[in-house]
Amino acid sequence: MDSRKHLHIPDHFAFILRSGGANLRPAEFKVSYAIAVGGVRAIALIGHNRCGMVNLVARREAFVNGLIEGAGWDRVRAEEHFMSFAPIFEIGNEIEFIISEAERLSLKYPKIIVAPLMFNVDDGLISWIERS
Amino acid sequence: MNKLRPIQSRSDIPEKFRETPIGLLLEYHNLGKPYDVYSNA
Repeated sequence: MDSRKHLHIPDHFAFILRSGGANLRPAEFKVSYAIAVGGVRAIALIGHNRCGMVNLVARREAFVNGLIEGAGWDRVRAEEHFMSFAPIFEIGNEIEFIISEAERLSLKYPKIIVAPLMFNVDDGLISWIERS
Repeated sequence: MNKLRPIQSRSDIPEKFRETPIGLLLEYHNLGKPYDVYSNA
């Protein structure tokens, strides 16, 4: 989801789904669609360092105040919104989450290649995450 | 402990991903492989 992440790939090379924390649970129907209708046979699950979904609870006030000031929400609504969705999107550690999410996707789509990858927002390069 | 493995050459790409779209992605993005022409993904 991060604006610092930009891929250098040819046009029409891939379907791209952006999702906070490299968490594809909220986008699962789109994944299924890409496989079933789009013919996708490999998933590059690319997280990135300095991810805002890590320790999301620490950004609660910034989130709430941002919605109040930026979107015109009242405080109660903004707090409820945060409390409803933060548990869904919060991740503990980028690398561990990407590994676990890649394993989940591999179990769900057993014929699909799933690669756990990490984008470094400092140098723009992608690394492979080798599971211990 | 999970480890980050940098991709700085084609030989750094895990064998299981070579000759797959994942390998191509890494070659295009990290290694500057010239773009091929695709009409669809």
